[in-house]
Amino acid sequence: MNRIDIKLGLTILLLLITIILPLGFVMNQIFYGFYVSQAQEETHMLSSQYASLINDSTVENRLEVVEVAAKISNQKMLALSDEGEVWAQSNFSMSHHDTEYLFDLIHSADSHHYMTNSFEDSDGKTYIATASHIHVNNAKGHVIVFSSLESIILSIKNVQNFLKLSAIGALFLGIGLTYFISKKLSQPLVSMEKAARQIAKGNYNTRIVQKSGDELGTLARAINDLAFSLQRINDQRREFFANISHELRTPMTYLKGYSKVLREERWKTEEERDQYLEIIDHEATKLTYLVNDLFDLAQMDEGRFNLELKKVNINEIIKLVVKKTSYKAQEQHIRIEYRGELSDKDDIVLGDLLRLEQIFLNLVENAIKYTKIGSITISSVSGQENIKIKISDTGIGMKEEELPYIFERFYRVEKSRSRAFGGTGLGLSIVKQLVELHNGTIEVESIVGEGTEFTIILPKISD
Amino acid sequence: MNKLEWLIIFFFILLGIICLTISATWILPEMHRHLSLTFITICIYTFIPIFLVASIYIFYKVYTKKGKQNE
Repeated sequence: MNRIDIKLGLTILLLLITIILPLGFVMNQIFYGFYVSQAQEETHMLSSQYASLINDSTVENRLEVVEVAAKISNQKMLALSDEGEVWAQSNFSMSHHDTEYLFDLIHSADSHHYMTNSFEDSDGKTYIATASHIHVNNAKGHVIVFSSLESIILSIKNVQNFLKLSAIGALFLGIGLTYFISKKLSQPLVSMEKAARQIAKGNYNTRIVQKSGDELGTLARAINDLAFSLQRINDQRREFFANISHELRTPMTYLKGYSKVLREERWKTEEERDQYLEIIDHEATKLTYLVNDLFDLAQMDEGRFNLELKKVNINEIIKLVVKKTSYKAQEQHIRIEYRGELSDKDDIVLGDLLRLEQIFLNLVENAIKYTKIGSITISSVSGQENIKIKISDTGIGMKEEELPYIFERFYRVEKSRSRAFGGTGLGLSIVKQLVELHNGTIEVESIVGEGTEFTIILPKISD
Repeated sequence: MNKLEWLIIFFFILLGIICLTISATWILPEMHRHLSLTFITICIYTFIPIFLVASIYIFYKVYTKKGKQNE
């Protein structure tokens, strides 16, 4: 019972029955009215004919003539004087009580032809009665023609039976079509509910096929997008744990191993001992960077990341970053070039000096990491309200379809890259969040084999 | 929808049309002579709205598809 198709079907059926029942009643009334009015017309026509025959004729025995005519045509007729004397009657026996009742009806009809639709005689039979005025030898009276209501009721009952049968037929037809409609309408919802349950169980590969462009189609596409996002988040989470455990395990193994060697004094020369201490120091630094990155991201997520904002000269920061990274670039035989068009005086942004340095340092170090041959170019242009900084390299580049995801945490363009080039997969995510915290934007363009270009736009402040 | 569901739908629609045919022809003299024609007429009346809606839907689909192709 608690199913959408059943509810929908029952609602449509209820609607159908709500229409059929009053329609059936109205049709029944129409037929009844039609039959009764036809019978009234007939009796009125007859009573008028009898009245004109009596009124217009000068024949002495005209009442007997009318009586015989009514008897031949098997018509119930009664001619009464206003004093209550029965002048003529055919196919009809009337008690004194019936006659009195008829007088009352004639008076209450107020000279109208149609006296009643339900004259019931002492035998319990019901008639339609119609009266017309007559004059016989200066005496006034009425000729009343009766038509049995029983035959009309019988016909109506017959019609009612056919109406009931047709209502049942319409209902069956309605049930068939309702079944089809409710199934068709509820099918997408049912399939979406099943898909949502599958997704909730962790089957993120579940997809819904719904081609319609209406709200149901939009909902299906939204569920598919949700499943895709969940699948990606799940993959990233798995990868994150794998990466983090790997990133943590490697330095921890070094730290444990070399500290054990030092504790057990298994070094042979002073040089060897210094080498072990250097390795321990290097791995501890790596660990610190990783933990710091994670801590920064956690703070950004919670909205507790505070920037020490002050007026900062971007030109100086970029020069400092170039200076810091040039040794590393030279080691890889890469040239770093800075084409700055910024002035030290006017091109100032409101930002955190260390965090801005972190942004550019991260991007330049990434560029060095992924460039084997060629150069890295940093250019800066000052606009009316913004400062645009471009960092482009001639490195390995990325596919266009990868670009929307590179700022996501732990996203790896290729799994093999993280192994070959290192990194935690957090750098670009931190860069993007830091740029946005400075009310700036970051965009990326890349061509595989040709290089990558990051564009940062930061709002300028005027003195 | 499976075959059984299609069968149920067909059964109800057929039963409905038969009931309507009988109620429409029973009162006529020599009803058997009118049965088939009345049955077909009721079928046509029943499916006129369906055909109408389907035609409008197909026309709309073709029209929008052509519009998209022109764009």
